[in-house]
Amino acid sequence: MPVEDRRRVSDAPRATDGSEWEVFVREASTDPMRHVGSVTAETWDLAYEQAATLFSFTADDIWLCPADAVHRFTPTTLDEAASAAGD
Amino acid sequence: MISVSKLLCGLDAEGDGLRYDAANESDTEQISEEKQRRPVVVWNTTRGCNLYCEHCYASACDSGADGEFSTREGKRLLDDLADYGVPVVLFSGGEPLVRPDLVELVDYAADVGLRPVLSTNGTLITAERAQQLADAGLAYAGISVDGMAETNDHFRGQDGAFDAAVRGIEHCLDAGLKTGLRYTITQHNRDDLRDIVDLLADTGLDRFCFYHLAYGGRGADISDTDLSTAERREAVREVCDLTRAYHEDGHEIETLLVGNYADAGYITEYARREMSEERARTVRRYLETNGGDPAGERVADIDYQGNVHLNQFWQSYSLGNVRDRSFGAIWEDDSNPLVNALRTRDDRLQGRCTDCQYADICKGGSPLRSLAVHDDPFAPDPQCYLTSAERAPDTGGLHPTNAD
Repeated sequence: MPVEDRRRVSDAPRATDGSEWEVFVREASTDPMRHVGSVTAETWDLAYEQAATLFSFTADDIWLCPADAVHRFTPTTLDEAASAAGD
Repeated sequence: MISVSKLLCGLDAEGDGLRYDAANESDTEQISEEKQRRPVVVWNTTRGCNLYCEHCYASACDSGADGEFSTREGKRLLDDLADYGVPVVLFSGGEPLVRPDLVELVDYAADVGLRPVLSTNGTLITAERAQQLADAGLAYAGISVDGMAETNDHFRGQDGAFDAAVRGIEHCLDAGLKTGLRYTITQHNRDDLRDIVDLLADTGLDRFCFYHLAYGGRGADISDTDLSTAERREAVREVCDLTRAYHEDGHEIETLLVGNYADAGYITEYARREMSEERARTVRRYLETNGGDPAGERVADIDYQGNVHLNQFWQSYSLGNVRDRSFGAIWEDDSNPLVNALRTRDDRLQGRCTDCQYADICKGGSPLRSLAVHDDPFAPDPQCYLTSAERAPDTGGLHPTNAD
């Protein structure tokens, strides 16, 4: 896909009561990390508790990343405040 | 949703095609989607609300949230849902009527082929707005009232909320809108249940939806007000009894139970005890096509910031965000192990569910309540209220119990 076809999704907040945390899991040591959505929590340890209750049935490793630390680039056009990828 | 009036009294209603795949048997125009291949989508259009209800799953307050959708984004979202084939979009909140563009969005949804319906506290519905919504193509307004005046106003945090909601119901009925009650049953309002039906039936309302408490948002904070097992049996029995009494008097109200699929087993047993074995078999046959708790399958939620959830009550976990990719792409992403497990949860039932004769039509009940109480979405629903005799597969539940 040409670089210019993607736009940068705006930094609109993704949570109001706490912060949003992107969740990644690995089901076996040879598997890649897989993004499986996000949880809402005040702190990383509470986010981990939530992610663990949802994914411990299948996951070995669980990684968390603050959603506002992730810059997202997509051809999807819904976001009115999206900007050119290079801005 | 389980339609008590359909199962016990044979009432045809527009939603039966979604719930029982029964469109072919109905004389009523159906919301039909063969086996409902796409979910009903709840869209929380705003966090803002003019009330502060104790059980609000969306944690609504008096102001909107940063990142809410503009009118243009809302229309793009509706295009996305229509392109995917979503049958119904439920405008919710917060309180959707605090959005000045609600009528415009409803009108747009109808134009692109969605069936727009509304969930509201009713207090902001004037005669003019009711007519505007009807003219825009709104197909249904569900109005929340959680008890008679004193109970409701305490629950909703505002004196006069009850009177305002009843006026809203009357305005909707006057505008020709299909309108129904939404009532979440707790210890605080269980004694008002019959009175509220009698009162609102007198105003011309004919649809009543009774919700079991969901343990999401502020609902999780008041789980201590949830019904006990005995109280729940009594409340569900009352819904069954009053439905039959109204129908026997020639007043064909529609009644539904929402949010606890132990109701499926209870109603089957009720039909067997109070009606006939043949009615019980009919009830069971309908419920086999209903599919159990719809989380992650027949219902989805998009919150005011675009996060997609497994249902409207499960706001603490999101599958993805519609600003990143289309709703359909998020919903059909089969790389998510939790979603896959929920969609095949018959294989993961535990404890009392494993030998329950109603497991196939209940599927373990609410995974959100199980998560809240047991830290495990596949554990038995803590609200299950069936007796061991009712659940027993070897008796077929044939023996009446003394639990009532």
